[in-house]
Amino acid sequence: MGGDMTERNKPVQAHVGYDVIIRMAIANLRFKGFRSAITLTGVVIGIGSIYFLISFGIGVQQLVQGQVIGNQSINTVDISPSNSAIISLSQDNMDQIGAVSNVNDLTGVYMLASQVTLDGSSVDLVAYGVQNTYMKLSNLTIEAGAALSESGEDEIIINTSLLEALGVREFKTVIGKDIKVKLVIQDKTVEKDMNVIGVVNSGAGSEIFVSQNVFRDAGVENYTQAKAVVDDRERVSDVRRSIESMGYETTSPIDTLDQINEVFRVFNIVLIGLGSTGMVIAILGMINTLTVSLLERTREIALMITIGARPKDMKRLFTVEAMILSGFGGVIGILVATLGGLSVDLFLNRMASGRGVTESFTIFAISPLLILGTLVFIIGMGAAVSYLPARRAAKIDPMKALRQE
Amino acid sequence: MTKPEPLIEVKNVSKSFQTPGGAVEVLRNVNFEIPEGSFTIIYGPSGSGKSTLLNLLIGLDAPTSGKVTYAGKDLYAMDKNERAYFRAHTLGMVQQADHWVKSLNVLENVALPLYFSGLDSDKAREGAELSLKRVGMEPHAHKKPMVLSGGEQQRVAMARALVNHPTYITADEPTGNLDSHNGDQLIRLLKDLNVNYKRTIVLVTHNLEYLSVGDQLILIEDGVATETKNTDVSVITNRLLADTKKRIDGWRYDRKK
Repeated sequence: MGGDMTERNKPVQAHVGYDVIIRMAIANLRFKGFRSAITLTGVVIGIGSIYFLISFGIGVQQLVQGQVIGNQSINTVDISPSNSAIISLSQDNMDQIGAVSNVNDLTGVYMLASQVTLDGSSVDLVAYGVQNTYMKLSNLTIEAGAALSESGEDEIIINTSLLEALGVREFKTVIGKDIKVKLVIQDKTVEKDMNVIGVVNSGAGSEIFVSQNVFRDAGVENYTQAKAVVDDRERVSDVRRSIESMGYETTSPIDTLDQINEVFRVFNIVLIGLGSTGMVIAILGMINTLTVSLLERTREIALMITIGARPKDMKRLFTVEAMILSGFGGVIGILVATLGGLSVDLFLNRMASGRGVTESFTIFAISPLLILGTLVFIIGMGAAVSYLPARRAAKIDPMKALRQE
Repeated sequence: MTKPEPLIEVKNVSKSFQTPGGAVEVLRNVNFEIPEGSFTIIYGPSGSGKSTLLNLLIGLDAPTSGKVTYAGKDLYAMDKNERAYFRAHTLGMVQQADHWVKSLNVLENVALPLYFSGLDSDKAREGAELSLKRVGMEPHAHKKPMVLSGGEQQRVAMARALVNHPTYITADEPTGNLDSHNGDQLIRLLKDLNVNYKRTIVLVTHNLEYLSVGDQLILIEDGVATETKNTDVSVITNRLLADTKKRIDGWRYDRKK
């Protein structure tokens, strides 16, 4: 009988199971149902609003990235000579650039001022001597007609801006038509009749795309620009450094992307700041609830310690209560914010399609990383908010508490 | 006849509390033993230090000086968790009514000592149900304890005290809120546990009616403990009656002034 304890004189290992702690925590939250519901609502609003705003920030960022970068491969580097009188993009130099490690693909492009004439009207524009790879890498998709063939020296692709300048509305009507092209190469002018085989949408300026052979036959030796494809996004800056050390200038969509990201970093911080107001109120609500609960239950805690609970069990009880409030509130908050975002997206898409926008878009991103981050935040918040009340619960002196009857 | 082994030993125990007016000594050099299987009653007037002494005996409140041992082991040489383990596994406490976790129902309140012993919630509730059956309170298992009458609450408190099959049972003024019928029943149950199940019982009371039930009586007066046999009841009663009279007269005298 009395030896019961001496057999177990080692420090105690028997834990109060978490099933018990959770049961007791839920019982208490339900017992104070109205208060728990109010606190929970605060957490839902706090987490929901911050999640809503961040998902908006990410969504808009992705939308802008998509619009600016488009389908352009992020791993490309545009190369041009910094001083074409000294360094040129000759075939030899191109071979050198192609040999830079991590460069997967390299394509040169000729660019010249030129003039085209169709049905009597003339337009000044830029002519590109390209390969199909270049068209692909530059995200130039054919709107009508076909791509340039390998040996198609008389073939020409024109862009929609040029057609607008020429007053052509129906793109398809120009396919198959002959067009007069005047290329000004150094001191001589080359004139050629070419057959329109395709139309692309390449930007606001008038542009034409012809086979590189047209330029070579006219005696142009060096490319004006080149585009390199790097096999790994992480290597882009290394490749750029190598190419720049050869005397070229380089640009990359990553520059634009970095700028976009920089702007959105600030934008997102502002959104987080706005959302934090609600979060701070929610946190204060939780602290208030837990503190009041602690004060109300001082005697109950004393009673439980008296009949064998360890102080750390009481600490756990409060931590679990806070976790339930923040976890439950947080998950509902994420769900509500996601549903809210989806509804706004649906509404905006409906409105846009009513005004003739055919492409659907998303303004509120559903990002697994954001969900994960929010969940981690929720857990951290629960732990942080419960820290002080839980510590106080563990420090309650049962004698003093029970004497206060 | 050999003297039974002492289960609890109180050696040179003093306890004082700090108050704004200075230290107040509640217990002064208290010495006694509680034999295993005995029924000990600690009694004395209100405010004499009975409850303080009981708290020392169950590892809740450390003495200012002196030692309290249980089965030879110094209770206050253990850390808080070990003492919690001791209470959860060895001790059954019958408290005054309204000592409840209000959010839990009767069944779960009774299951608390088993929860704290590390049992999972299903097993603990099974144990609690059996214990409630023993005191005839199982029909009220799913009610909140606060809705029960004083007598019913006391029976539930008994069920909770016995749920972990303690070898050592303490009761602090358990009859305080009960009518004489319920009070008698409770004391009868404690006596039954003592006689038939060899449990060691420590009862704290200021109610002199039950003194004859104990086989060891400890009178606490102004922090001083005097051990007596239950045959000395008449002597003790006379002394207490005289003290009470003195106190009441003193109060009247003060009023006149």
